[in-house]
Amino acid sequence: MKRIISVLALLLIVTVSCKKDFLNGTKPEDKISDADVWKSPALANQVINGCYDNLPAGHAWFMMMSATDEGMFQYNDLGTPYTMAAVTPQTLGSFASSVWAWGEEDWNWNWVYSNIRNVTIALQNLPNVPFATPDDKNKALADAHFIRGFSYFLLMAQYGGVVLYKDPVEFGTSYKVPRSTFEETVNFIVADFDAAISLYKDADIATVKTRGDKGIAMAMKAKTLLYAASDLHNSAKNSAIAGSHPELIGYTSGDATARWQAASDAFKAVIDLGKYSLHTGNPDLQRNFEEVFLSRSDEDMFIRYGDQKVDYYYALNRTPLWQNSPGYGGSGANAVLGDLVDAFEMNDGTPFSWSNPAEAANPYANRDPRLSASVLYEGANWYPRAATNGQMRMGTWPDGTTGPDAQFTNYWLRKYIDVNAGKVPDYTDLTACPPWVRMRYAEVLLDYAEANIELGNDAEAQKYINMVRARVGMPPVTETGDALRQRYRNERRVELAFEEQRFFDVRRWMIGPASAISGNGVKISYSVQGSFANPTFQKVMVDAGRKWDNKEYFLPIAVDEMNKNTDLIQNPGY
Amino acid sequence: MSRIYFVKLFEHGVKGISCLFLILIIFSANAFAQVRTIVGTVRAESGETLPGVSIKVKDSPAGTVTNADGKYSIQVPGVNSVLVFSFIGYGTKEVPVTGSNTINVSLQSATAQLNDVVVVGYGTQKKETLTGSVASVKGSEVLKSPAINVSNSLAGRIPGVAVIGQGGEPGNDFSTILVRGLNTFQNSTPLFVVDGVPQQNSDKLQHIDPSVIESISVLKDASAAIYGSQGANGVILITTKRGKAGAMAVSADFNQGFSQPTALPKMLNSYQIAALQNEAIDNNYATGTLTLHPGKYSVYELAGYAGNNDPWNYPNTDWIHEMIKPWASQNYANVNLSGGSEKIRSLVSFSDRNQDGFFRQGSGKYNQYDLRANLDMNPSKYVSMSVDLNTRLDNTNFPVDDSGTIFEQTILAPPSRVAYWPNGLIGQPTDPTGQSGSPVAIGTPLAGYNRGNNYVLNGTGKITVKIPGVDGLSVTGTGTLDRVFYSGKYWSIPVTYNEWNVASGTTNPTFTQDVQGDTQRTLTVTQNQQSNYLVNFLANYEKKFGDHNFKFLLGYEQFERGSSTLAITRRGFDADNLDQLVFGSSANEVINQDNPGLSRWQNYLGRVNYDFKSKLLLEFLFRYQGSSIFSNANRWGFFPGGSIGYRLSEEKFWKDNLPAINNFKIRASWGRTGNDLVPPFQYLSLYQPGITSYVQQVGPTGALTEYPTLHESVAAYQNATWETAEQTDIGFDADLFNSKISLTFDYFHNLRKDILTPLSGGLPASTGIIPPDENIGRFQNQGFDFNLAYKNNDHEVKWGVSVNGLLAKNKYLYSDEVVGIPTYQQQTGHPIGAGLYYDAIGIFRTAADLAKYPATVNGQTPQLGDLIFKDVNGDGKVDQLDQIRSYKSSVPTFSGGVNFNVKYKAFDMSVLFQGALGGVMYLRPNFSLNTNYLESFYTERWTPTNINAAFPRFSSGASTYWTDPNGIYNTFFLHNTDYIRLKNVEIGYTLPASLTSKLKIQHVRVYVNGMNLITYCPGLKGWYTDPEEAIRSQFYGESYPLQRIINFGLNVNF
Repeated sequence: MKRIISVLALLLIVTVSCKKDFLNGTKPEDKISDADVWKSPALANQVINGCYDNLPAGHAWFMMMSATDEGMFQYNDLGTPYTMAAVTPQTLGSFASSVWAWGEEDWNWNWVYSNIRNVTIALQNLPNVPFATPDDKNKALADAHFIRGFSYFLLMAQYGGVVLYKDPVEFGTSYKVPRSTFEETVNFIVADFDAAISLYKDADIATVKTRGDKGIAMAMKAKTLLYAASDLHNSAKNSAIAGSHPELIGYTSGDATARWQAASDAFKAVIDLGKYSLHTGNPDLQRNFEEVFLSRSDEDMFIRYGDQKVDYYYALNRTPLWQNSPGYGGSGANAVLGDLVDAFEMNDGTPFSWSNPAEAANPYANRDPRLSASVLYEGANWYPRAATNGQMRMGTWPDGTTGPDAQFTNYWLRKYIDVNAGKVPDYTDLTACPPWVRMRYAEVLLDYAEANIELGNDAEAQKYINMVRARVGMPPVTETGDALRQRYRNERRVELAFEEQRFFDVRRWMIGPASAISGNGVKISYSVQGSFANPTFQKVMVDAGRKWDNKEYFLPIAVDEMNKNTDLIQNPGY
Repeated sequence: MSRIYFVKLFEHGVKGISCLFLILIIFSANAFAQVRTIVGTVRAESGETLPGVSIKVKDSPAGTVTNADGKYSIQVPGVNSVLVFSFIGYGTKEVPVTGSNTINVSLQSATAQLNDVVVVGYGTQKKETLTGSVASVKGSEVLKSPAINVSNSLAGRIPGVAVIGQGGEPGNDFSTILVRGLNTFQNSTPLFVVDGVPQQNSDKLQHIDPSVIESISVLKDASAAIYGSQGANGVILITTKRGKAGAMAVSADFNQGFSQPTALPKMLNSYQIAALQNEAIDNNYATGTLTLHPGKYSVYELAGYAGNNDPWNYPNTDWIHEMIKPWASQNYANVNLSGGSEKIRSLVSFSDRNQDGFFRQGSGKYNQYDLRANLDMNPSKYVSMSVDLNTRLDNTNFPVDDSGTIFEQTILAPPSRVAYWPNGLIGQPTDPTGQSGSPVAIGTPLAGYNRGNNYVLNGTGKITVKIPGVDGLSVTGTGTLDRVFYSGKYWSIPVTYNEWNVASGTTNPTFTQDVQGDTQRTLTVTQNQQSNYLVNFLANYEKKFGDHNFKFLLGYEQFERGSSTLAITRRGFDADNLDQLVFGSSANEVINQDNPGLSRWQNYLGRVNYDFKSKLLLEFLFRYQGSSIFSNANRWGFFPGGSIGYRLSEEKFWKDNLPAINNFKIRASWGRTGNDLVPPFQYLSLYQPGITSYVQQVGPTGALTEYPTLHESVAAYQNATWETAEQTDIGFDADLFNSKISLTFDYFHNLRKDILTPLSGGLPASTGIIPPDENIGRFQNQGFDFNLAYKNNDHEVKWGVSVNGLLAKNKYLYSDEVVGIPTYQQQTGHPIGAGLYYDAIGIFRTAADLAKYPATVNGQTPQLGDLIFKDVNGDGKVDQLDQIRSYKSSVPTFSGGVNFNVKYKAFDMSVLFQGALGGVMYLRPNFSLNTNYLESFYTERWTPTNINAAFPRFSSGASTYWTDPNGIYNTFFLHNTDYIRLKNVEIGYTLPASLTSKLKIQHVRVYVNGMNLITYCPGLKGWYTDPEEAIRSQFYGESYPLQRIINFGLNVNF
């Protein structure tokens, strides 16, 4: 009896005496506290890696092409706010913060700012992380500056001047912060890229293309300056759309020529690095151009691989293969518009025209080889299939039935898809996906040419445009002045098709109305029932009602955000 | 330290338990000399004689049983002997042998006995002096329901407890149990405590073996304050049966039941679909993309489908018949052994239950084994000890796809698609373009399985010491260890379907094979373990000063809870029988780990009861609680509760003037409790791994390397703490006409404050902050509950009836509203779950209607047969601003039950009606010509010739403003779920004792019972849906139907 009581008393004493440790002895086991993260160089780098992973990757279900005159989306109307001038602060379509088809979610204000917060916290903490060598620390800091500059560039391209955060926002403080001017925003981005350029080591340039280095930081700085110099942000050119706060969307002072010159100089510095070159080597010029996106070369500057060990939806959203290849189950979500197809020149450098009877009768013959490499059209060679002899068949027979690939515009995306890889794997079997090319050297050459056209250095511009054309066997351009500008713009349109450039180019160049007048596809007719022979072609309107409103030159800030941060000023027209 | 001690204690307990049972037998084997013979008759309180009653001489093995007439004869050793009378279903009675050699005994039924004592937190209280609002139900009541899952047996039985059905899938068919409805807009799950041990959330009540439940008590008001920060949602205390002194009594129960869906839909046949499609095309109605049959059906095709006699060319598959069998089997058996002496008693209970799903050849099955053993010992007059050991094994066996999805697929499968070809081959995927396959494959082992084994091991040791020399003081120490091991295996096999080559004809048909969906075999192995450790010490002291009675309880408790999950997925298996990880490819391996970390609680608790002449009653209780969930500065809280009762009926003036009301007590209570069912460690700024990796390539040809990523998961909220609840209750208990009528009524008002919710409304996204929860929400729940009962045991027909009900109305007082939304769309003032809807005020029946209402709805132009939405803000157009916040949600505001019990001679019957009012269900058909269609929606649709139709015109897919599934929620599809149903009936017959006693059997009863037999729910007429079914989002058929059960049972006591 006494023993029992003494045991009980002992237990009481024991429990009471260890009570302090009892409640303090637990910690989260599937998460890491910030204090632990910033003690470890490895974990700090994991945060940086996460920020890289969050930068946009265009292989979405809804591709940005379908919000432009390059394409149209077939499953829903995420693109129509942009093609039908219906975008509002409530209706952001494919650029909204939560998009069922992924879309441009990774360009969205909320998404980008969330990444900015992570990288800004990193910038605050990295100086105290015990890296093994100063080089390691500098590299991490350079990465952080590069990612922040890149992220603000994404916002600048969409909104103009935005809210700039040098330091992470403390939870529970006042959240009302006005937008910075466009000029301040550009300077902030350039400063971040400059910081990255000074911290990255020369020796590392172009060794790892999946993250920042001195070369890509210089190129992104140059691209920022190119965007900044563009007409859209020039108060001498944008007054019709600027509204009451022109400083938010462009320069209100300064010398536009100096800005073009700065962009030109910055691109020249990238070219002069001598680390990048156009991909060449395959005598089959069409295949050579396909390889730019399928195999890695010195043309790559900044690429982004999808994750191989991914969950279902991620794979679904990150593959161009499953979504866009007809004939083996691909559903062609992003159809290519005939207007883009028509922009590819004849292989002698003359424009294609439906009013030329010979060209209209055989519209895909003798064209720029990039057309075959970028778009699937009637009769194009595709995966071996007995039913169509391995060719795309989209025509209509006299009884109204159609070939197996007929749908929508009758043009399908081909860029990014390797016909030699065999049948398109099911999305759940997907183990590899070509990377998304965020920037490649051809763009640098064209960007440099653009700056020089605007500076009046036509010869310099021709030289670099023709480097890009020569790679695909297209004859050189010889025009000057505005004619050269128009040739350049078409060249950029076909070379960089689907690469998330066009959406911003039509804005920078302020050619919105011209870009929104059409929505064409092609109608193909077979004369003999059951036979694919001798198809005839007719240009047809498939996406009627496209129009432009000048407010679209900038995206609207979402209504929720306007309500939460009442110091914000909305973009003009909304 | 202490935990280790109890682990050891437990380990010893496991080893020792077999020894202890041996001791029990040895105790029983002792023999004594005989001196006198005692005779007598044993009767029930109602007067009838009781055959088969066990009579034992205390502390001796001698014993006998009463004969068919209730008479007994026993020899006892001397004058100091004590006779112990025990009988299943009745309280044990001890009678000292005095001078007389005749001892007649009347036994009180256990139920009546239980009415006297109510289990409360950390103890029991006499019902007559109870001041809190505590409802209880006996285990025998629960057993009247044939439901395999106990959570489905409680609806309508406990006043103040709302039980809401979810779905009927075996293994997943639990009901949500709410004490007085929803008390917060966050987690409203009550605390479940089994024999003093708080349960893991996932476990709840559902898996408890109904046969071992002695009683269930529900603490509804401030009496839950003794559970502190876990008591705010109410506390449900389950007490299990323990061994009784007496000869070894064996009770066995066998049940065989049959279940079927409570509701099944009527869908169209292939001819009706074809005709509908032609109508839609003729009338230029939106048809969406027609993947099944592009364009109109020709007259030949229509005739072919109408003929319904060519299964090759014009199939008309009844998918529901193909998939669902008329009855599914379920069975339940329990064997229960109880006995022992005053010094040592034990109970061993074993049960086995099996439950089959509705799908034909389906893999939906559930079975569970329970083994419970407990041992009570009184080694000295100061010490009592107990050891409990409970184990459970349950096996779930689900199809590879979620059963609700399969059910939906069954309902929506087009009848023109083939389930099986006439030659027996498996047919086509239901959707020719999709990835979804056919339910006859996915709902069967053909497509693999999803199995789980759950092992539960629970051990408790307890010791109570009455302190010698201090009368009324006792100390109790308890240690519990609770472990759950789950191992799951998901094995998915690609299914090959067959497409008939039409040209091959029907005599020697050939087929093209087609694999749908995943083309690789996939295996996921999941391991999960959970553990609870609990240690507590309680001191009880009772003291009486004249008419003043005091009871004190003081306790210390510490509790730890942890869980971890590991899941590994591999693919690339080469054969259907290689369902082991080693055979898969490690190249695509996916590993998921979930390990939130331990949670710990440390508690000081206490209670003081005072009563004056059992007339004026006072209670004060508290818990001072620390929780590791919160930061050091915010983890300790004090939760007090107090109540007062006044038994007016004990006063002389009452007795003189109101003798008919033999008991009347008014009660009031107030308490502050907490709710800490929130994610832990919110006070830290935490980083979590990204779901994807950063993939790096060095050089143009380098291999791809994946690197893990981290990102901030949520900003820190230093001050995070529990929700606090202020609970007020005022009620009374009354017994009339010698307790023939009893009435209990309680009004309650629960105010919940500091609800953790993110304040995102004012936080701009540009900050990048993922907002943490803050203690800002406020919520109110108020209403009343009552129980009114009448019983009449005076005659040969004994009967009783009781009615209980709960009215609970909740509303948001403060939550984070979206900035800038109009007041009529805000949540504040509305109940939780009240949706935003367009107000559908009718159908555009005529051109005059079209002219009368706004010309556009979200930019679309309505046409005849469309729904009319009200222009709420009167701006001449219908858009998002015309949605209004409803005042109703899927949770009914009123729920209740009516119980009848009748007993006549050997027959007994009980009937339970149960119902609910004030709930709504959002349910809409799937409008697509590529699927199937509800018959009611087809036959009663608007057409130019049927303008007075009940339903709108046909429209397919997302093209019409009122059929677009993305956000066009409107009141037309919001259905009132008010219902009343015959929830439970049981009819039993007890075999005459004259017959059974000859077979040396004490008691044999056969019974038949049923559940969810008849339902009346006018609001769902034409929708073929159970009002209790939880629809996952909005589409008809999205959940697995609830069960209707008919069960046959046999109970034998040896």
